[in-house]
Amino acid sequence: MYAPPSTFDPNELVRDDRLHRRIYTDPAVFEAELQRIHYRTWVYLAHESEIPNAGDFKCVYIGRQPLLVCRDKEGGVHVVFNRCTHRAATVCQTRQGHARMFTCAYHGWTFNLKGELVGVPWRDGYDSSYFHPEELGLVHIPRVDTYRGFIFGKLSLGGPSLAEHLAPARQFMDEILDCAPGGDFYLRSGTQFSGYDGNWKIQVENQVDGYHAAFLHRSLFLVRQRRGGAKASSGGQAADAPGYALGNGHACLDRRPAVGDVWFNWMMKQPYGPAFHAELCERYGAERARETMLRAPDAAINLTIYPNLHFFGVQVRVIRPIAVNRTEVTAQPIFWGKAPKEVNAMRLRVHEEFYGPAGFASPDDMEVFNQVTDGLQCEAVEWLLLNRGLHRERVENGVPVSTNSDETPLRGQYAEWKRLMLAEDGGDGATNGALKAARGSRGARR
Amino acid sequence: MIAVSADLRREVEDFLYQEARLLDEGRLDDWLALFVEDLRYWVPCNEDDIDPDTHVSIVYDDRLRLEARVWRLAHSGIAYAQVPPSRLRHLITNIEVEPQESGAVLARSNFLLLEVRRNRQNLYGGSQEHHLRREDDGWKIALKKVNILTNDLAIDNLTFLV
Repeated sequence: MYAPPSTFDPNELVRDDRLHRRIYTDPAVFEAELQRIHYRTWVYLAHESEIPNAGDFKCVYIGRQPLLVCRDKEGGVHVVFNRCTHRAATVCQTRQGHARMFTCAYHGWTFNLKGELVGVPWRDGYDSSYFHPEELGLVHIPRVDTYRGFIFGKLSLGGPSLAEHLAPARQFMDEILDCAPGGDFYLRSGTQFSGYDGNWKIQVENQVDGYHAAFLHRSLFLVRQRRGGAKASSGGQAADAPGYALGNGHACLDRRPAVGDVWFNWMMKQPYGPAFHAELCERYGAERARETMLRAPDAAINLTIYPNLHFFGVQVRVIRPIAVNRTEVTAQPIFWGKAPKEVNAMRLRVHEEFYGPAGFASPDDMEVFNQVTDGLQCEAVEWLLLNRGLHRERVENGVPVSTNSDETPLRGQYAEWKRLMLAEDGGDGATNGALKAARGSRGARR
Repeated sequence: MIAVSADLRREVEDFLYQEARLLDEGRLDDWLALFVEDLRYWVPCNEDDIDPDTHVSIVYDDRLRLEARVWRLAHSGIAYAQVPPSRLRHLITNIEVEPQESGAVLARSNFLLLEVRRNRQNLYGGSQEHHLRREDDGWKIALKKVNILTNDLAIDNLTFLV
């Protein structure tokens, strides 16, 4: 049986102006990415508004590792490995729901909402000389922190704080979330699931690739043009809108300078539009009201929080790497807390047009990811170009920026990829995130 | 419950089979002509019974959206997730016909949908509801709701018409 090359040099595979096909095709690279990126850096897990009440939970994954995010009776959020500390079965099988406790189906071990072990059947089979139930709670992941309700987890102990990690992207993240009147938003409007038979990085690149939209998504833009939207030739964005490599792998296409007034005018023509506008003017002033109306169907900022979170349109997108050639992508529309229900329904309708497995655009992206994956099998053609816009890229306030059809945001992602893949200890003293997590927990004490 | 006559049952069954054949033969404009003016074509997401105004759907098309969908698939030539188009075969079974007081008919059925694309055959199955109204030129679809069994799993490509 063919064994893939087990060693690789990130410096060889990722150059400043090109990428080697192996980073998308080599299982050894993928396994190293899990260990050095997804199991080590801050990863987005869930939003607090998805688990508003005590006992609410959501099952999520980092790579292949199943986690359980739940809220205890005091309102605290816990992120634990979804794995019984006895014989390893997952203790929660439902993706999202409400529970009083979690009981393992295998031998009936029961854990409370804090993850503490509170029930062991036939207890006389264990002696207190070696059995310490207080040390056998569900294992908490090493680090958890939140920003504006976005719960991030980290499977290694060291490294930067979440605030440090998010810092370069925070302004754009705030601007997206502050589109909601009063900054009041929540994620409880369902989740679209889709996927493709290709590497996770293809999606992560694509969502800040401003070059492709005018061509790959021309059919959607023609649909919109026919009903009075922007000219399809603009591809939803003008060439002079900026694309940034923000740092820490985060990247952004700021489409706001390019989208004009189309959505504002469209909103004002909706039955609820004028009244909503008047209310916004009263509450937040004319300028803010205009901005809110304009951004209601589309925040017009594509923001990737490296490696797995992306803001786009009205949605929160999560990218889950499953195998070197399998990736799943979820999309959850963001609902506004202080908006008429018609506005949130409109956000769903605009979202569904573009995204999800039957949207007018996202499936075309997925189709191309499959095509890329097929093309990558050509071993004699080793390189993918990463050089678009190198001659006109500039640095503003320390941030590389160029027109958003350039590959500046992608170059930022790969600078971070290389940094994480090359750092022996990830810069945070953790050589193996998963191992470190187990050692750091109380439950794994010998 | 209003009793259903053998004739009505046969009529509705024929209608469902004819609709499926138009989809399978890629006659999308003819398929669109089966709908009433204020149509709804709905594929719920995550579960079958959701409020489409508070929960995202996979598809929730009114006439404007469905016309755009059909144009994109049948006429744009650049709906890349359907270039080349899926080959489809709908199997429709377990048909139950429920006449309504209004004269409309609710037809419930199960379906198995075979789809072939990119060198692979995919299977989709589930239940569906056709809310039918009789118009001057025969039965028309007011609402087609398709409850795909995998609506809470990753679906890679559902750009063809189900």
